[in-house]
Amino acid sequence: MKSKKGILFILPGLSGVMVFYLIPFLDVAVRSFQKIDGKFCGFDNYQKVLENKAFHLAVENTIYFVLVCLPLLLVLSLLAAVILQRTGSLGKLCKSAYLIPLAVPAAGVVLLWKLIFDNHGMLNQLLLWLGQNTVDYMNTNASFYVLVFSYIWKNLGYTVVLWSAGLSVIPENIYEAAWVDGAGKLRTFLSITLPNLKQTAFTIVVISFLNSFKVFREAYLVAGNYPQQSIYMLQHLFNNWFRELDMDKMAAAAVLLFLVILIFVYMLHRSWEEEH
Amino acid sequence: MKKRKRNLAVLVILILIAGLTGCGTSSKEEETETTVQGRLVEEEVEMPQGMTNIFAMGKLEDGSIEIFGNDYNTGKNYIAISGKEGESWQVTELEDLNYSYISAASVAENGSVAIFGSFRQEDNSAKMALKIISPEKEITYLNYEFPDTDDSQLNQNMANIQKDLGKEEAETQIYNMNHGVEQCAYDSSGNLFIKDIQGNIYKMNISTGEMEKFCGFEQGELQYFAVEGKRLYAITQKGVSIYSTEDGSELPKDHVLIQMIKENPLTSWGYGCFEIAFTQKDDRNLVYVNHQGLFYHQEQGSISEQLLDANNSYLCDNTISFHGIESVGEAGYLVGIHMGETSKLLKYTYDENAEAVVKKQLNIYALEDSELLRQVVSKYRIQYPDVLVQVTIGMDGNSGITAEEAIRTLNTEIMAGKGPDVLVLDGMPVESYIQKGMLVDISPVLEKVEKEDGLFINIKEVYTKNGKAYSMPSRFLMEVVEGEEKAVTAASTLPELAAYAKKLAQGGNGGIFPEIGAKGILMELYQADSVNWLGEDGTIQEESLKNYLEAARTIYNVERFSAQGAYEEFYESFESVCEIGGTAQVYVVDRLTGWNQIAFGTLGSVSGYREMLSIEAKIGGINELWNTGEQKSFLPYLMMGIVSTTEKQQEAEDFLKIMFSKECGEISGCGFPVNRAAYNSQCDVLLSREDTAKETTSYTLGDGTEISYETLKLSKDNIKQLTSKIESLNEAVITDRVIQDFVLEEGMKYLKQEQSLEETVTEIMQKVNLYLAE
Repeated sequence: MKSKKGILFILPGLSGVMVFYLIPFLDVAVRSFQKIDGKFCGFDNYQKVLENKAFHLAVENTIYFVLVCLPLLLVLSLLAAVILQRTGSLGKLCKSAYLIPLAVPAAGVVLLWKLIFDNHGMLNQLLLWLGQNTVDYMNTNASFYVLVFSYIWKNLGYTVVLWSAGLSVIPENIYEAAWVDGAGKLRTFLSITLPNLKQTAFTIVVISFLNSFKVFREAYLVAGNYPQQSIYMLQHLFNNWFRELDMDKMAAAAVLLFLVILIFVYMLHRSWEEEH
Repeated sequence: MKKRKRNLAVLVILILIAGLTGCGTSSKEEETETTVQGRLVEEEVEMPQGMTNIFAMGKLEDGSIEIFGNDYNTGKNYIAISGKEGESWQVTELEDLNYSYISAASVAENGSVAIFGSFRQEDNSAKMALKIISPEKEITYLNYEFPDTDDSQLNQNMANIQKDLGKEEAETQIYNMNHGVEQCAYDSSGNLFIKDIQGNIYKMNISTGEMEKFCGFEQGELQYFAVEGKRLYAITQKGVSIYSTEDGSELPKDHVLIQMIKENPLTSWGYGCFEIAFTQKDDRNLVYVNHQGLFYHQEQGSISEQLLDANNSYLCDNTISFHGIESVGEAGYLVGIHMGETSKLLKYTYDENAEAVVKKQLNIYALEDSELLRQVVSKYRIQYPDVLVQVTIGMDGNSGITAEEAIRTLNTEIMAGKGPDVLVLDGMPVESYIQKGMLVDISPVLEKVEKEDGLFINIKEVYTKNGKAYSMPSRFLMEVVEGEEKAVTAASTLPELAAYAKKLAQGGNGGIFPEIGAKGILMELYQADSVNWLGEDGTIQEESLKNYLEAARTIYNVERFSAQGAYEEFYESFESVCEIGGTAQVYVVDRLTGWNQIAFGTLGSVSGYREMLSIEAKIGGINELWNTGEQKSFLPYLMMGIVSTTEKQQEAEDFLKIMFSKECGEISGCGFPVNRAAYNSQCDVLLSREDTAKETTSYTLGDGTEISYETLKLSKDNIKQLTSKIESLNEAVITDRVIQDFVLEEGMKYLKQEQSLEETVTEIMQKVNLYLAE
């Protein structure tokens, strides 16, 4: 009886997910084995995608971006969350301030980027004033770090809130017992805080991983379809394929991307379950 | 329990499937819809014999229609009176009216005609006056005076004109200026209403010539007025004011008419006709015609009823204007329109067997709007009135949508099965569409046109592979260079041209190239040179790109290109370049006026070629196709294709046939037509001008000096030379918008010294290679 009630509760959400995500994705999966005219072509599309140099570049950049951003975000946000938890009412205020970047529209962020990182932007003006050489941030490899900065800036506050939620459910008496036993701050952090945050960490890693794909929006608005090569991401490629009506390649690449995310999440889930 | 779960799961799936299938449109429902029949249908009726132009038309007391007009070629004037159904014209040739031009005319209900214009006097001067033609065709000459002429303005005019002319001539000119009439119209009581050039309306007593001011507007505010029965409709930029012609009182505002004018503001007028015309059914009901269609409107009513949608008729052609509309028979209308250089009569009658709503719809998509495309669409609509044509413009200029965004939206529609039937492929990823099988082979259409009229085979061959053609431009332009022989010879390669320009600049002989700014230079050079950039592997050769950029920079630097050029704005839109039929003829004029020594640009018309030769005859020089390599390139325009998913292939093919036809090729506009017969016809028109009087074109320079040149009479040899140039074209320039954008965007930075040559080339090559790798 209880399970029947549960199904009724998830039915609206499930319907939405099926109609807008799962069923269209099934269609994409079918198309990945077809030419654009609907004729079956086996794994030709996958072969084309895997041999595509632009795909290689986009995958490399995306992986590199995830490898740099994810640990950086997790560490910085956890540190911030721990510090904020110990700063009382000021911490609460700061937590709200951290969420502001999420509320700033992408177009506004882009305008700010241009003002700061343009060849004649504020940062270069500052460098000139300091007697240094200017850097063309958006047309050199420096653009990658601008993108990393943007991702961290935008997602830090949200991740801090998630960590804070995890921190708030750790019972205070465990810390008190540890302090009575003579444990220091570092020991309690390593032996109490971190182990108790594993469940939260799983959620945060998955969410941050998925969010790392959304950084394309800012990169696209600043540098268009063909940005500096180091910030040419998978979404740029998908976007350009769509313009050229390369639906077959897009479908195959989307399935590959889905599989990679699925495997990543599965492995993460397995490793978390094994520890429990 | 398990069974229950399974049942529930099945239920969920069924609900989802039902929801999904419910999203689609029910085609069966559409099929079973009852066909509603009966609507107004358009038919072109013959103009009264001998008449090519209408000056005025009106309905007489007995219901017949009277037209006053002339023959454009002979100058003879006629009055034609129809039967009650607007048919069987009885034409009377009038005695010589002796006018130099007619500025306004109107037909009264009793059949008399009022004509305002500049009439020749005995002393050979021409003076503004009024001539009245009575129903018996007797002509009365009448001088008139506006009652409240502003003396201060008159004195000012006198002072200005006397500076340049003799006193007597100045007086005549001032008289004409102060007696100018832009429009006139009779009411049903025979009163004549006149609009002067200041925008005032006067009421005239026809028997005495006396006038009284009827109503006044700020100068330029009143655009047009119509008199129907005892109502005067004054149309301004703000809407419509309605007056009683009997006592001059302003009647209550008609908000529906005001809104209609606000939505369709009058933008231009000429030849005594406007973008709207009215006719009264009775005191409170009127019918009007505009580019949206034919409408019935009740005074103070809450809505105007559309009697005919312009989409299926001549009316949608924005280049036409209206002489007038009169009701004929029980439910018919006769509309006089001005189209090109002549007038036409269109009759709208109710056909009870015609389908009330046109069901077949042909969708045409273009990224950018084109006047030429609109004109072809009008011709198609007239030939196929049972097909509704919908033209969608991806970048309409108001929404700020980029080409990329527009193409993505188009692709979404195509993938959803809601795409257009015909594509104007300019600026679109044509090769990609062909590879994906999105376009139909149009070679059967081209073969038919070729059989009937002939095509430029060299252009067709560029688009034909293995006997199939999936796209084909209906027009094309070619890049030419013009100037002294040395300059034209130097332009054979870009480095040589750059070196020559440097040498000229050192000599300090003034302007060298057209003042077209960085983007203009890059664009013109791109059109001349890009055809040679592609290597055998389909990638761009770095060395060629370097040469191009270096030459562009040198040309940009040799003198004044750092300033915003006079023609720089042209390059914001390819369309604007095309609207002037190519850029070369403009820059050649600049060579005449001494602005530059070398002219280059696109040539897209026989008349443009004639202008070029005329200027060369005056100041010397030669012209050549401007190609910096082995390939002779052209710039395609209005590239047509049919979408493979279309269900209206026949209609789409019919449209393409019209697009490539001789008739549409003859429309003056951008580019040479690929239709050979149309090209020959354009040439023949100019060849036959040998009999006509010589034309002279003059330009006044900033210092007051006047430079003029005589328009050359084209010879058969001239045409032969032009044709051989066209026939030598063998490749289209790189029209891929993505590559062109890379080159122009990065090239601009290089020309404006924001980055080095190496950086620019690396940036372009990286982007191009990435694009090609995708």
